[in-house]
Amino acid sequence: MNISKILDENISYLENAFLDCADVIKRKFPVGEENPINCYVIYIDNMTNKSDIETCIMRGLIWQLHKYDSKLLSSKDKIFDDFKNSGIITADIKEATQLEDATLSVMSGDTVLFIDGVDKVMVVSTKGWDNRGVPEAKTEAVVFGSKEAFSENIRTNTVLIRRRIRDVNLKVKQLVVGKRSKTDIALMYLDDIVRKEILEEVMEKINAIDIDAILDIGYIEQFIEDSDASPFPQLETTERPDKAASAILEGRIAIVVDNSPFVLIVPSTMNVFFQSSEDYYQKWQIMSFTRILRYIAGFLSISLPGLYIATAVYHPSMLPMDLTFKIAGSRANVPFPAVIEILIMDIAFELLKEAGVRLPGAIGSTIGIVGGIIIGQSAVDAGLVSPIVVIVIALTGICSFTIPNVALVSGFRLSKYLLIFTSACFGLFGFWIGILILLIHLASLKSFGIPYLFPFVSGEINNFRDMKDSIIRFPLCKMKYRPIFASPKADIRFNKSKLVNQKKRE
Amino acid sequence: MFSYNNKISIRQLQALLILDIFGTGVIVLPRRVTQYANQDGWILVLLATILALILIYIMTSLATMFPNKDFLEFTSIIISKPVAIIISLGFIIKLILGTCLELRFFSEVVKQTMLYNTPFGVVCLIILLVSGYAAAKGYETRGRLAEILIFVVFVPLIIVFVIAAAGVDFTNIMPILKTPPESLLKGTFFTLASFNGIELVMLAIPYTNNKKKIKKNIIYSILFTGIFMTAMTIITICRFGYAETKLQMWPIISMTDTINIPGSFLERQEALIMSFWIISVFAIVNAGLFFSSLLAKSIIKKGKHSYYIIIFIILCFLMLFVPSDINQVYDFINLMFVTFGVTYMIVIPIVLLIIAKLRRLGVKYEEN
Repeated sequence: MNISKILDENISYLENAFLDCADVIKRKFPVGEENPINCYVIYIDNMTNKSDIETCIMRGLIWQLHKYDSKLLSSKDKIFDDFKNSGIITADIKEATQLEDATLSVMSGDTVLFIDGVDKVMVVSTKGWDNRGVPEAKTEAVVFGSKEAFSENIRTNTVLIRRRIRDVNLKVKQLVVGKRSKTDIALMYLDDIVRKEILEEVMEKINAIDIDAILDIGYIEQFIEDSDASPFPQLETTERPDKAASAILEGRIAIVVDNSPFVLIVPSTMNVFFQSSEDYYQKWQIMSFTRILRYIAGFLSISLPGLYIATAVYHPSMLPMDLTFKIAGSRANVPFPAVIEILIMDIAFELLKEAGVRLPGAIGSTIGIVGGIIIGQSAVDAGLVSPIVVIVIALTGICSFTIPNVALVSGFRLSKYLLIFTSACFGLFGFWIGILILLIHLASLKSFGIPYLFPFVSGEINNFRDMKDSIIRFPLCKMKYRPIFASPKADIRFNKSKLVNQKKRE
Repeated sequence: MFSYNNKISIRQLQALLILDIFGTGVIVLPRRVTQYANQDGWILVLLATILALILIYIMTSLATMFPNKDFLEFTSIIISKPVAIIISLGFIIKLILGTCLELRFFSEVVKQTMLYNTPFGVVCLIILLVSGYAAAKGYETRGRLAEILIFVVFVPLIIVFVIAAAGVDFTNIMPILKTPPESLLKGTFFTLASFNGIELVMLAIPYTNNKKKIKKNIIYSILFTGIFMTAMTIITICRFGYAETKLQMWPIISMTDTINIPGSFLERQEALIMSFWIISVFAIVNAGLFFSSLLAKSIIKKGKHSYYIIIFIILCFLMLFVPSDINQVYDFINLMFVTFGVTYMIVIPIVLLIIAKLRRLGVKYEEN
């Protein structure tokens, strides 16, 4: 609907639209002493910075323009420019000609100024509401490196990334998704590095989302991922600005969603879920060791319970005599078959974990003590489970926590039950069948056209360059090329000749 | 960039080919060759490798003459459509029967080494279902899977055999070449059965990305498989002596069981080594189901790829119960080889190539 030249018509529209909205502040006031012009401001309380409205809009209009006389003007059109140039004391002013745009601006925290006799409005940016500021990273804590994390405000988040990449090629493409929520979404990428086909696919998929509200980044993730039948995450979420910035520098796209303290990074392969931003801040020997550890832990967190069932029940002859006797001895008093034993302990562990998350911090640690130590010990003493099973489950749990990404851990946790089931039915044969099913599934996954298991499969497409940042983290000066995510035209990360010269001088 | 067009890279083709050839037949290979040529058994494997290399050269030459045509299409061009369809149908039968026998044979091995009480039908059905699942995921997934499985199968096997090779008595293969030439030839011919699977190249090449270096790379992978099999045979004969090798039911499994991996706390590797055969059998059954349904689809030209896979899984499963025991399985394997095996590995590629050359078909001639 077009904005009318008659102020009262606009006012009645807005009064109608914002009927029973107690949080909307509206005021009509005259400007100028002789032949005053009526103006009308509208904004939402507490979503706007009140002192900005007072100093930038009200003071300017009422004080500086108090000598304004509309009769002296040749045309009415000049009023708008006069008000804009000398009345409002701020740089961030937009214009709107549609009432729908004006109402949307009001609801995003801007202040809208209507002037009688003019068929457009001024949208003054006065956004300002309470938020957490820049919090500390909790789910991806590191020993060395930045402690900053994203928060709920989209601007704060884009600034956190912009501060790390001061390049005009860093684009912040803004979209609005959600019929009712009208959530702001920003795609951040380096224009000269990103693969254009992936960017187009992401835009296409996001624009196709037709939903009431986007409440969190998880909505976007589930709508744009390639296979929703998979328990494994196909897009990476992070709360660390340095990780997002480094991903953007690799040619990936960061999706920032308003009201979510996490940022989505596309595309993602399984390999990147094993990478932590800390890996690059410390010496490569140490971090390579950690990487190897993580991969082994990843494998164990899936396979250990299944492997235990397969060997202890079906193939005890594989193990040395002493160990077989130890296992048999510890299981002698247990009334359940090994599978039930594993499941009891495993479900107890999952329950403890879930309870620990829900309870507030101080009580949460009590759950750990009561659950882990008291129940574990008593279950063994009561002969419900054997000590070896407690060790197996505890080890599986610890292994799963060494992987830096929570979403991948959840995928692994579910896959573990597949292996428990197949091993319980068919021993080592079943174990390998389970592994095969998992591998087939993983091999069939793709994230925006890139195979999920890259670079372990199809690695030759860029001469196995990505292997330098997989199980072993090569020295930074050896990682001359950007990973597969970057456009092939811009795949050189740094100029090596300068480095070599420096070494020669020494 | 990565394609969605269901094509694989040469590296993936190599991995698939090695996995498809390297089957359970290898477990009994040393016994079979020593039956023909005593201590000279390994020479049979070597000669069979050379024969396989010649055959693969013929097959790749044939398939690369028509780079963008699938098997049915290029055979139709060479020898009229009706004959091509008959050849393709035969190919399907060969693949399905081969898959069945491989599975049946493998299930016997599993019964002896891992699952003593489980009926063989269950073991076979599980492998059929898992292979069918992978086959339904399409060619790209198979290629990527092979790139990982090849390490899972070969790295542990190579480690085991390197350790086994350290303590063997190489005088056991002396004196060399004491076998009469006719049994040497006969043995070589039957050892070629271990390379059953190379004919899949004719079906696979149309789905490969870069066709320029294909011939050389395929030959490398056959060479690798051949040398690996030869080395395994030599090590087994050296370890047991040919007389004992002849008596072993599964010589390779018995051999891996006799060695002690230094530092390993495992008492018996038998079940562990079997694990790698599970994967290689999976690869073969998967290839059988995939290519037979591919051929069936190219003949009928209707329906989804996965429907054909389901039909072939049921067919395979029913046919599993035809042989009554392991000896009958051996008989069937030999029968299969001298009929379908020889036809599709030797006769058809050579005949097709000769006709194509005589009729001046294919890319090279079209360009001229």
